[in-house]
Order: sequence, then structure tokens, then C-alpha cells
Amino acid sequence: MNKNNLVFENESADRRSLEDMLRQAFERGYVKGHVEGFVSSYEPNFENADNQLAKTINPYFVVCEQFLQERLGQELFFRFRCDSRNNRISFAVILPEEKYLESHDTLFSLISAMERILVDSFPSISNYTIESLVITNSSEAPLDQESVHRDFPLKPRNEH
Amino acid sequence: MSTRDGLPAPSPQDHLEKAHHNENWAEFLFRMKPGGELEPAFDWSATMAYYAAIQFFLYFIRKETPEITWGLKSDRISTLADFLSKFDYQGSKHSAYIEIISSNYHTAAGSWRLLFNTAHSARYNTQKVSQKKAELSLNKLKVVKERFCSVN
Repeated sequence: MNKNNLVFENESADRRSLEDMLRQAFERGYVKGHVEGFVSSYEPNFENADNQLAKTINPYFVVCEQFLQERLGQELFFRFRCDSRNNRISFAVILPEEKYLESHDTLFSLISAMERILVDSFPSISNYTIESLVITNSSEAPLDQESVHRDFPLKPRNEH
Repeated sequence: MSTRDGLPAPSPQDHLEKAHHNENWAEFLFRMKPGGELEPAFDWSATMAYYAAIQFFLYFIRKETPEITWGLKSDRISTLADFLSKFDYQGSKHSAYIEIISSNYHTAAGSWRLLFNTAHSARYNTQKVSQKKAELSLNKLKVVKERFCSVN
């Protein structure tokens, strides 16, 4: 990821608010960066809640989730997984399709900001690839819970 | 110039023709009527829209050999393989496109992410792609096309 380049032409108020909220979370110590030594705890099935990297960055995603819920509704939620073997962090944002259709520009702008701030905040993952995916749910296109759990199974909310 | 597999790199015109081919199929698949021999294929329409976007972008870089910046480095690229090797990029090709466009072509960045996201979901999830999402992909393809292929 590239900290020096802005992703979208116009910096949105939402994006600046997200950055402020994350900055405050870091300052309060709720989210802690600069953590090292986590790579040895890799588990191939991604389901080990002791995964140190996941525990480390989980509060980051919790803050982002809260922020996006405030903007786009409480039905939105996050899932993520950490793949230390392949230097990859994947996360999914799941939300109702109707909300996605009306807010996609804001949503993708914020997700881009999240990816960038994540890498900038945790130097230990500076060489990681961050991959994000938005998954929608509606009565017309119901959510495939099984594939979501398979692809993004890890969310140790209470492990930090 | 050759690709990683040793084949000659496609010309700009090759990419442009493929882009229009994919774009036409995206629109055709979107317009299919319910009740026909085959049902409308919004998932494949969105997928073709994304692959049309890729070809429009490849046309652009093959034709212009633009200087791009990623991280602290800048260099000229005319193929995706150029980017992967010159910037020592370790992620997937799809994430490479996102990185290049997010960092250098801001007006197309959001549209590209939406196109990738919808196509990825269509291919790897069993979730259906709605008509509205497929239509959105076609609209975003126009944005990408305008950015990378505005004179054609």
C-alpha cells in the first residue's frame, strides 16, 4: 500500500472523520500499533482465536465497523482473516444491498482509507497485501452465510 | 516485448478489440429477457464488465506507457508484467490493478473497486448478482472507459 497517494480526488468528510476516529483510538491505547513477533502463531485453518496478529488488529476493525455502522446502518458488519504465511490480510464488509446501492461511492472510499491506514499503523505488516471485499445481502440475493464464514472466519472480538 | 510466458505482448489494438468484445457481451448478457432459453445472466454481465475494464486499462498503458507511482518508486509501465517486476509486487494481479489505479488514476478508483468487487462476488460466491448491481457495473465501466479510452 502507498501512504503517499490519496485514493480519491475529493477527500470526503466521512473519510476524514474515520481517520480522526482511528487516531483517537490509537491515542487512547484502544488500538495498539507497532506490535512485533506475531508471525509464528500462524494457523492454517484461520480459526485459531489465539492468532496474535488477528488479536492485535482486531480492535482496528472494531473501530472501523463502528464507524461504518454509524454511517451506513447497524446491519453492516465486518469479518476478517490474517494469513501470515502469505503475508495477506483479507476483510469483508457485509451490508444490505439497498444500502450498498445508495452508498457505494462513500463505502469504497472509506474501505480504501481503511486499507491505507491499517498498513501505515502497523509497520510489521508493511509488506502485507490487504484485500477487501464487499458482500451484500437482500431478499433478491440472499447472503451465502456458509461462504462468508469459510472465506472470512476469524473475528476474535474479545481477545485483545 | 513479450509476456511472462514468452508470448508476444498484445498490441494496443488487440486490447481495444478485446475490450469492446467484452463490453458488448456484458451489455448483451444484461439485456437477456426472462423466460427465454436461458435466464438473464447478471453475474456474467458484471464479470464481463470487469474484464472489459481490464482490457481498456491494458490498452491505455500499452499505448501510453505512462509513468506510475507506487510506494516510494515511480517508473513507466506498458504491461501489467512490467508493474509486477519493476515494483516487485507480491500480491495478486487483481490487487495489482487496484493498487495502480488507486494510486494514480483517482477518477477511476472507486469505479474500478466496484467492478472488481461485483465480479469477484459473482465468480466465487453462490450469491446472486441482482439486476441493479449488474446495471451499476455497466455504469462504472463507462467511467473506466472514459478515463482510459476517451478518444475511441
